[in-house]
Amino acid sequence: MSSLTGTVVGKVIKVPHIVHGKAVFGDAVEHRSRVGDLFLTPKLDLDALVRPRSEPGPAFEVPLREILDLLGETGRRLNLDTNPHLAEALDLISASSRHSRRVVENTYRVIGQTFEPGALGYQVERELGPGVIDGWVPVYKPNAPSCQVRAFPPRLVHIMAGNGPPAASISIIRGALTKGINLLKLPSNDLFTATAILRTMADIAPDHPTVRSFSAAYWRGGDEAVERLIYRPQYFDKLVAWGGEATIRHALKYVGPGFELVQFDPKVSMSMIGREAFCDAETLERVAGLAAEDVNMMNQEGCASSRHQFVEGDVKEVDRYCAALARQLAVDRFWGDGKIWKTPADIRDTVEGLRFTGTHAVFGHYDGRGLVVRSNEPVDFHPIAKTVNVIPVASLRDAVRYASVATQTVGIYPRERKAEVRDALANAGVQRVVTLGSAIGLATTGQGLPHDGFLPLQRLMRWVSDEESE
Amino acid sequence: MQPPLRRGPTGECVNFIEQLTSFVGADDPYDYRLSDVRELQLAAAHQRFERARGAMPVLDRRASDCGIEKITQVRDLVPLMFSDATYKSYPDSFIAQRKWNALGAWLDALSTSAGAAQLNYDGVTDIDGWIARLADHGHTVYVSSGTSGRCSIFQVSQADREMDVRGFRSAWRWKAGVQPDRSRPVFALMPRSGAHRMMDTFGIVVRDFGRPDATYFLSDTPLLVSEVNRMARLSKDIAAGTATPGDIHAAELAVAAKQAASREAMRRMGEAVTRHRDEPSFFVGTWAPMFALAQAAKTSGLVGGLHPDTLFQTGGGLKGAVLPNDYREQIESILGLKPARNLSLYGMTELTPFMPQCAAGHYHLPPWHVALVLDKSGEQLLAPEDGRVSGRLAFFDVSMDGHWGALVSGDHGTLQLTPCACGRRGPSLLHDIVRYRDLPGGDDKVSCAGTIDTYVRGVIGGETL
Repeated sequence: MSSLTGTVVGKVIKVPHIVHGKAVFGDAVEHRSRVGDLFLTPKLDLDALVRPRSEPGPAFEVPLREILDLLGETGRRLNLDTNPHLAEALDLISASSRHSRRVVENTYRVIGQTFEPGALGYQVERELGPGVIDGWVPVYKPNAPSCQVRAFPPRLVHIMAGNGPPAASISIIRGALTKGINLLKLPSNDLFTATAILRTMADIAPDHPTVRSFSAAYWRGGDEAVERLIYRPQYFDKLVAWGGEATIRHALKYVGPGFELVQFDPKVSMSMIGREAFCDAETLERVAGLAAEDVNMMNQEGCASSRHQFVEGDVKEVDRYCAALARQLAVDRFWGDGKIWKTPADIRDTVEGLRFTGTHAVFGHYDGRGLVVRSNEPVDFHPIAKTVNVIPVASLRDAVRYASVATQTVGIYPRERKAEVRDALANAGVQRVVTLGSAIGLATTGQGLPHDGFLPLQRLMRWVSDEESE
Repeated sequence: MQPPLRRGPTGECVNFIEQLTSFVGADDPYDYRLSDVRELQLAAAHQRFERARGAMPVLDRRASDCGIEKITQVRDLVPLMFSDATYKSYPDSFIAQRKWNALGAWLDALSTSAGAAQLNYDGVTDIDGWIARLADHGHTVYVSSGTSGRCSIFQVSQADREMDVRGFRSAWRWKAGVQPDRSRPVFALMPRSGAHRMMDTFGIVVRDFGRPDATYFLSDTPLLVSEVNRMARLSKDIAAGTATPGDIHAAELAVAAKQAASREAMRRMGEAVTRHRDEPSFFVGTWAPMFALAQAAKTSGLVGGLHPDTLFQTGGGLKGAVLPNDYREQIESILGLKPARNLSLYGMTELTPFMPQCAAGHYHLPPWHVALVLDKSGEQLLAPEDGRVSGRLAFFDVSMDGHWGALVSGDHGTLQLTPCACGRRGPSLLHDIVRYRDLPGGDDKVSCAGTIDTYVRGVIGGETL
């Protein structure tokens, strides 16, 4: 595992840009990330990155079938053992990542699965309806002349998230399925995955219209000198932004008529555990394991990572659960490390203060194996670095009031009790209810389901009508 | 000055702490060779550690956890450092639900004196009442706030308050050879009273210098912690969705009324400044209100500056306030502030010593204040190169008696161990101190994970103590 301050790579890292599908190498511009890592990129050629509206995008008229074929082949080629781009990305990312190489490698091992063409075809049909992406489809409106509708390809700028390769693959897949023009703004915390995928696609078919529909470049997020020039409706229809409050606040300056923001908001997630967990010791340990699975996804750095857990039981029972959870947090999992970096000092110092109030209990360690704080009300700090706040409740329904518009995923045990609270949770603002232990789902199996409260493909398309078309 | 290192004969109990703090009475407490006092500092640090550990469960736990039994080198202090999170770790719900004894138990664990948990808090309805009840029973509690709206709460002893005032008097003697004699018009950019160090010990400095008929405060109503707290709670209620539009509007009106009142107070103080322009006066406050006061004085007709013997006591960062780049030049040109008559201070509210700025622009450490420079995470002690070291500043205030005085700051700075250009041989901090959170960059490290704070659009910005 790399050190807290990041690892110095022997050489200065060069980050290529992708311009209309072609990799462009260069070292004209020096960037330094906040932690002091130095990297070089080619000079940003904004004229080359922007395609004028006077000409349609290269993939606008390509049948969906051909795009799915390309994506399917891409998925097959995203094999870590044989793909040099992916292997290089893994090396570079794990050199500066706080996650263990094992966990980062696991995320790369499954990345190809997200390109499965059957699932993607389902996603398009489910979100947009049949045929409408390949051409004009008649719609029949009662007592009105017939009309036709087309889901027309958009021009998109993606402000990507960098906390895990799925963020890159999801952006590229969605961009490809829309047939639109895509400019990816690379995040400083993952400069490599998106370009590795795009270069893999270019290796398969360098002149494929979908390949030529993608560009990717790095500039400092919020850099006005870049953003005020290109965030214009004459060049792009929509800005697709993931997380990052500062990023979104910057982007809002440019949103206006003809230039729309599609936000995947920064989110928090939680768990609700019914009294069924206490039926015997073995079940309790197993449930704590499922809960730890949801906490520890990418070492609690994802939006779906559980941070607060509401447990139905009295304090004595709940403390038994907390002890089990602390044990389970220390276990290595597919998506998370048994031991990570130390608990941040401000959380440690806060928890040490709480320890003496007589109303809090503390389980686990500050050494990165996992920390559990039991309290009567949610704690005032934001739990990170494998820190879980467990709150006893008399009934799962009592936990609903702690869900809000910021809550993305709620993992519930047992599965049967989801129906009891899901409407109340949705009413509070929650977007996703899952069975405890399955919070990761969105990144791997979510295609065709809502994301952050909407159907993303539907939102990305430009819906155009031809009225009285017959 | 050559500080002597007095050691008692073997077996004799020597008060190393007192030996060290007695330098406050020296002609120049900042002119010493670190190598001459290091041994005494470590002996005093260990003495302080033993005393505090026996009285503070939180420190005792920390020491056991990290296996530190004795302070023999500066490095031993690093794992014992608290952060400001320590003194902000109380649960908000204790205040909202009036669990005063529980809050007292928390305070006891973070203080060297006990008894707050057992007090009778009958009739106490808010945090100000809690603090007043504690004061009635000999516990001095200070509250301070960052810009987050969450207050630090900590206890100081009578000895700390006395040391604080001695420190100020010593600094003024050092800076300008001035002895306070209650003769000057004073402009204090703070409320007259409140449970804050500024109103307590700074207030003593104000009275020291101030002519009673010409001492001006920004406000005569006490600064109430519950007011700050109410704002923090509203933020929480907005996040939880339980605040109504009417609640938010009422808060907006209250904030606007408060701002209007402070503008009016500033206007009146600006007029007073102009009235007293020909007398040697005394100003105390942080930069942002000082700038506002300079503007107000200018508006009221001040031209040509103030009496040349006017004194200024300034300090504090901007705490997120947005001022023009040349704010200091503007203050200097309007009020005629001169570096030689400006006691510019750097320090942490939770610790007693303030470090005064010398003519060369460095902040000087007194012998009883040990500065450490750590890595960004605050875990590793960094070694100096060519007599300088930059990183996260941390301090151990050997004089601190009421609570544990080893604290990591939120600031990035540079410690110089070689003699300063001003001629003093003691350690000093360069003037380029900056909060880590104000350092640029980091915007494009995008992640899908967020916090509820993102969802609360502030109506309440800038409400700080």
